[in-house]
Amino acid sequence: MRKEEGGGLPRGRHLREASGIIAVAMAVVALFAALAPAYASAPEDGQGQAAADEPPGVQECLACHSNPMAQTLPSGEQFSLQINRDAFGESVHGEQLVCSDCHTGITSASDHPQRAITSARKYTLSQYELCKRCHFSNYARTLDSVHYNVLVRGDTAAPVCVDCHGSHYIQRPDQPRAAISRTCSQCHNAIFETYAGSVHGRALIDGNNQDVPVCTTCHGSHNVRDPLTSDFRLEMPQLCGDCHANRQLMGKYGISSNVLKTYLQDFHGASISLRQENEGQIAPEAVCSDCHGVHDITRPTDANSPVLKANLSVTCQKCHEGATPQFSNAWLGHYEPTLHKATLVYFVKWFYRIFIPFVLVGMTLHIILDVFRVITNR
Amino acid sequence: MTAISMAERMEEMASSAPAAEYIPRFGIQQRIQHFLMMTSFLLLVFTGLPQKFNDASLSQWWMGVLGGVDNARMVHRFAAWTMIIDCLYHISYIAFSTVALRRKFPIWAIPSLKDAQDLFHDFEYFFGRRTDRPRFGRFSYLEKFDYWAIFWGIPVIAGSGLILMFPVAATKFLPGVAVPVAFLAHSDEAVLAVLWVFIVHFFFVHLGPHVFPFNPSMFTGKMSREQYKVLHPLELEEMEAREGRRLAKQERDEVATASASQESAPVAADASHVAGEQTEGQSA
Repeated sequence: MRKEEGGGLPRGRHLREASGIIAVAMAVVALFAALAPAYASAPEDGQGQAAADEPPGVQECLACHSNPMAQTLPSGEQFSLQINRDAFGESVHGEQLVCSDCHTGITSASDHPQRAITSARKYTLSQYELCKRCHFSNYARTLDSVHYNVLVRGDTAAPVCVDCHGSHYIQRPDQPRAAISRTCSQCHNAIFETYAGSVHGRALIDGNNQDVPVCTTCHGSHNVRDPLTSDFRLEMPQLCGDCHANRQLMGKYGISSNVLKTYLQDFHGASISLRQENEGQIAPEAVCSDCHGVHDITRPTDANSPVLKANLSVTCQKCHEGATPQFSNAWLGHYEPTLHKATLVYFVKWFYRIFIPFVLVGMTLHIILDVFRVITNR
Repeated sequence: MTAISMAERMEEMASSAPAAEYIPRFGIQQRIQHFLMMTSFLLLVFTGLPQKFNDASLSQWWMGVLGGVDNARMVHRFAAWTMIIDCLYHISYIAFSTVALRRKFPIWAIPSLKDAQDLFHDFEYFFGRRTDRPRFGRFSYLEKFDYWAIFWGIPVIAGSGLILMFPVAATKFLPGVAVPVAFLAHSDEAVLAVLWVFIVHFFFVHLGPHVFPFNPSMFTGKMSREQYKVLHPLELEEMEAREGRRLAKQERDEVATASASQESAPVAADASHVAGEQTEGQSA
């Protein structure tokens, strides 16, 4: 599902939360298109009158383009040429840009060359690079993205700037925060539904939580990476650790911030930290998502959590064939050994902490005395 | 034992002792055992330490040189099996030579009261209360300590290593906590072993005042009479006494056989062979 100008508003069970200003703006357009015939001048039709401070570069264009007008393309599509004056005025560009800033080549109603537009999608793809004239760094980032890779392979459905941000009625993409994940859900709906049921997604959508990750937190926004690469896997502990090793942030929710440290101290994490970037091969050692899940992460105390003690051996079996509940007891659950937790490990740790210096200091003393005597004998 | 070293030793044994410059100290079996132990240990250290100190940039670089952690682990496991087999070889070598070949059990390697006395003596010497060092036999208390430290370290490090190599199988008959215990013990014991070898073993064996900078006896199998006199005087005296007895006996035999027949030569060769075997049994 791709957002088109004046198109329908996203439907789904989270309609209320999802609204946002973009949706409201589009709803207004849709409503208008459905109800109002071609009474362009009607003051109550939502198009409004030109604001006093509307720049002449906009005023001149909207004199025509605020009216319902459309073009039938060779592809058979009805291509709307109408602009919602209020929605444009309220967009982030409303007070910044005039029409010809983007629609280059058109300077006035008289200097208005005809364009040969064959299909709406082709027109979008031919025009979206206009954004880079101002937003060059973000445009450059998209060139590293998995979306751009799809585009250069010839798939015209790959998203470009306006597919996520819109064109004439652009709003801040993170107002509200849930709007980000909803933007992605236009194409990745199944994953969004899974995410929406996760501990992160529920906190975001039900509680408007500002700390939980949205899609772009992990995947990046403009340079969206392929998450199935070996490198993404190697970086995952740090990625999750960005939040989960943050003592202050985790403290807010009563969650341990030791999880990254204890992971890296154990076999899985130590191995991952020794694997090199660009190794190519997918690291066989478990990273966060192998045990906790990816988009469907739950609290570790949930009955269906893959890391709940009762479910853990089944999770271990994903990699360790024949793993028993006894085997899964080997995992200390991100706890550091203490007198009460993993007592034996704690004792062994302290045994070596004392034994190694004891032996070595003793022997080194012996050596020093020996050398000292040899020197003084001379 | 190779033909050359056997010939050398027979020559040394046969010639009148005081003139010989070198005295055989380690048989070829022991030298092989030590060589396998040394090479496998070094391989284990160079592939194991970067795994323990995995966040050090040096480790990251070294892993790149080795071609990744998988290669390092392959080498580590190969060296581990080599070391385990070497230890079994050592145990069977002692068992075989005492049970099957009926050589004397290497009792001179076992700690005794004299070792404690020697330690005390050494400290008296260090603090200037005595001017002489203790006189050692075949192995000084330091050498025994060196040997037994490794002897007890091996089961810990090999046992924990096997648990880590086969964690699923290990937890079939061990509690789960055995795995994190093994993980910790393996790496800490390894650090102890590395520090031990590179500080203690190196100093005792190579950097001591009488052998500095390198003591090759474990590789050549022999030690100069001068060094032997300083490092193992008691054993040298025993050897000389035995040699004297043997020569006296040989002389008596020669007198007896010379009068009996002309075929004395093969008997003499046989006798020196037996003496050689006995010495190797002692050095076990």
